[in-house]
Amino acid sequence: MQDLVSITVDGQTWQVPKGTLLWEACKSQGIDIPIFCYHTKLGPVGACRTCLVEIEGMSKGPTTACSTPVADGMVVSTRSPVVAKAQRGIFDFLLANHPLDCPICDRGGECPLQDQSFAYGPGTSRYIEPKRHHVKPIVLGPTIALDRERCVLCWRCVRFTAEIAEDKSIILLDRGEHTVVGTFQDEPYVSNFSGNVVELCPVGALTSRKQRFNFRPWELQNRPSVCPHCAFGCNLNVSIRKNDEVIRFLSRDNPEVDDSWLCDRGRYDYEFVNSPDRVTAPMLRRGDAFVQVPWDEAFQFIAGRLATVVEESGPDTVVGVASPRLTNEDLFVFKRFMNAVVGSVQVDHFPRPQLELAGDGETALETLNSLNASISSLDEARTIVLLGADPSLREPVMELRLRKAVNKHGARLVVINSDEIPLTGKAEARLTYPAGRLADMAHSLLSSLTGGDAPEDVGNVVATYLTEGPVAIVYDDRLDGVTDKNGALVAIGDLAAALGERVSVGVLPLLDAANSLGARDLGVLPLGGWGGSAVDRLLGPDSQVRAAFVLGANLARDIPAPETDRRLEQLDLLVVNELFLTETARLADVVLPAASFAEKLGTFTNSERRIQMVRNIVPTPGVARADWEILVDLSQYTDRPLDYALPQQVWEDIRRDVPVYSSISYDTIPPQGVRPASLQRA
Amino acid sequence: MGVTLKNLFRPPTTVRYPEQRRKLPERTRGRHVLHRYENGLERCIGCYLCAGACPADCIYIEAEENTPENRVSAGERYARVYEIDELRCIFCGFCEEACPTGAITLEPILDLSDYQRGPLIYTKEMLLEPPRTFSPARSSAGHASE
Ligand code: SF4
Ligand code: SF4
Ligand code: SF4
Ligand code: SF4
Ligand code: FES
Repeated sequence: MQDLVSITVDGQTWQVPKGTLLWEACKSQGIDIPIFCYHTKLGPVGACRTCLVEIEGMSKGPTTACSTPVADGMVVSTRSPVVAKAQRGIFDFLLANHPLDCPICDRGGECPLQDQSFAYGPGTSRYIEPKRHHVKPIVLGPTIALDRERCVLCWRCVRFTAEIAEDKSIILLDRGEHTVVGTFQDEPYVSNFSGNVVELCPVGALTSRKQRFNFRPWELQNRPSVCPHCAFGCNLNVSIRKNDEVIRFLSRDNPEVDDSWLCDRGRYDYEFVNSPDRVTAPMLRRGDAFVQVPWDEAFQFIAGRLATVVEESGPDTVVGVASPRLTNEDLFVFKRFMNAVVGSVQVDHFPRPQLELAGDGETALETLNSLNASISSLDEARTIVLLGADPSLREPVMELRLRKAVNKHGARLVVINSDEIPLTGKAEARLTYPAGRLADMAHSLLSSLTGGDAPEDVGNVVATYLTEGPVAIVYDDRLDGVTDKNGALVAIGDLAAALGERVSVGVLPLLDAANSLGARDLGVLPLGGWGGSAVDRLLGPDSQVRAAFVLGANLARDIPAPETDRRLEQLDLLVVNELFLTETARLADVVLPAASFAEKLGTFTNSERRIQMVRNIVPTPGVARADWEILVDLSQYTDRPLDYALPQQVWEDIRRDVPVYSSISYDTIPPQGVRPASLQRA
Repeated sequence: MGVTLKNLFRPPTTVRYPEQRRKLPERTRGRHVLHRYENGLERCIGCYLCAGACPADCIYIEAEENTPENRVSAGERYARVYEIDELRCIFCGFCEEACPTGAITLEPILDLSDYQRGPLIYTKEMLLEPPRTFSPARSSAGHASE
């Protein structure tokens, strides 16, 4: 139980935990105090002085609520004449050199400086002197433009790069009246997380070069969604214009996942949704060209060919490959379509680790799966081991979580990698191994842990870091460049299991795509599980496959070989559901227009098995539809139609089929997503 | 009878439009004109304030950044696309009032008619006054071109 203290603000008295900042305490009680420099995710600096309040008995006059912790018996006034006068003065100062070019400022309309000057400022300025001028805009880096005239010197951008991303690239230059934001020796500001400073900047001083002048905030509506670009599953607000155009991604704070940050890949990759190159209607191949046809004609064509193939060579000559970027609903209907309608067990998802998993490999995956930890458990971990994993590359925002775990929660980071990774500098201990030899390293760790032989440095790391829990292990399940993938996975599994017998262990995998874990949980795998591969079966040298359904997976690009193209071309029937005419779609007999993540209702399972919802925010282009809807419609042309009308119905079937999801229903998925009840331990 | 006789010999109040035109009050709110500065640069900075103020939601703008090679307006930003649907406009003048640069005004131009709807969506080229005409062109200058 935390100590509570009692405070009185504007006549209201209530209790708050000791050490809370006065501003936070007031906020929780619904008392509004203007802030600029303070931000809940950054440490207080007290630079802007807008949050002045009067504390009884404090002789130095008004003080800053954002940097003052509460004390027992504190009596505070946020509205007294002294405070009001002080705040008016501060806003006059803030605007003294502010260019007031609101009409062309990208912040105008959602600008705290506008709002708060209006609420707390003096209305007219007392300054008649000419304003300070700077060159504008200044290109700060490939993604960010800086307008020094608008900057209110709140330090937010500086603190973000110092405390959160820790590249310390944005700094304040010079002193006093000449202080400006910049970078050391005007080096470009290059970061994976640059977009966050645009969102943090309380004025329009930092703007996104990609989005400058693209929109005015009052035209936009923000809709909650989830980033579709990696398995970390950061939460988004998708800004849309005129109800049909996706125009920007903003972060949507989920303290359990992204902690309000996005990486630039996630933040800036949204144009595909409104791209004019989207496939908008079903297309049939006629000779070398595609012709647009109505759904009905496309379905009849597919059903006809499919029936012929199944009749002549049996259902197992039909394979289905789906991308793990699809929603759980898409994947489930896809699997059901292949199994029940086509009658084939050859379903798979791609990309996925292409392992030749014998029995022990699958056991290892199951072990790792069962130890799946939450992202927020990184904050409680005593030791975090990055085992052949580079989160900065695969799930960038995890890098920020790891930095936070180390800085704020005292976790000890152990980086075990054959190369330098961005987090190496943050590591307390480090082990390297020759490129590709992850399996050997995992074996040494295991052997040292169980009292066997191991090199001295490995022994030291194990003795110092792995004997005390909780331990969090982050491994990269793609195992790129690892020579013995199977062996490595088995060794990591064994290591986690052995460690689990001694201390409490959680495992976080780095996965291929936004819904890779969902694809696994739903069992979108061929007969033979991980060991089999429908893709190998499809593209293998003596392939018997005659027809294929490919949903969003770009085989021709990701398996670059003349053989791939040749095999795909030879098929009697290749149906591709896609957003674009990809390399694979170009080889198809039928291309069906699919909905993007912003155009359908469904769920993603992120790498901590959090089920999060994506929603139909904008209409699909043309007659495009969600993949699951397409398959349900197609099944009506066969003699075994599927019967789903709503994603809810699909989810109910998923619950019935997949035990780990059974506790979750559509109505109870909160905006922040939810992990299955069975997993909600540490 | 007296009234009849009096009116019988009065000159007609109608004019032979369009050959003849009545002189309209200077502040008549008719079709919009986009203005330029003396140096020929466009006044409009593509700020969307007119579009935001417009109760009929009939102004459509897409803004773009000025570059040294392509300087269109005075500031950092200009309107690459500026369209007004004159069929929807209610000639309230809010756009004129909202404009921070005096770029858009409603002028005494009333001949807005066509056989189709499309041509009555006025594009920037149609709304812009020609370069080098300084004072806002009143009456005859900005004739509806169709
Ligand atoms: S650029 Fe923006 S975030 Fe940075 S100090 Fe200036 S106002 Fe604050
Ligand atoms: S870390 Fe992944 S989920 Fe988060 S914003 Fe980046 S790409 Fe999207
Ligand atoms: S006159 Fe009124 S209705 Fe017409 S464009 Fe201007 S603001 Fe809109
Ligand atoms: S006409 Fe005026 S209000 Fe409208 S976009 Fe141009 S500058 Fe802004
Ligand atoms: S918010 Fe408190 S000083 Fe800036």
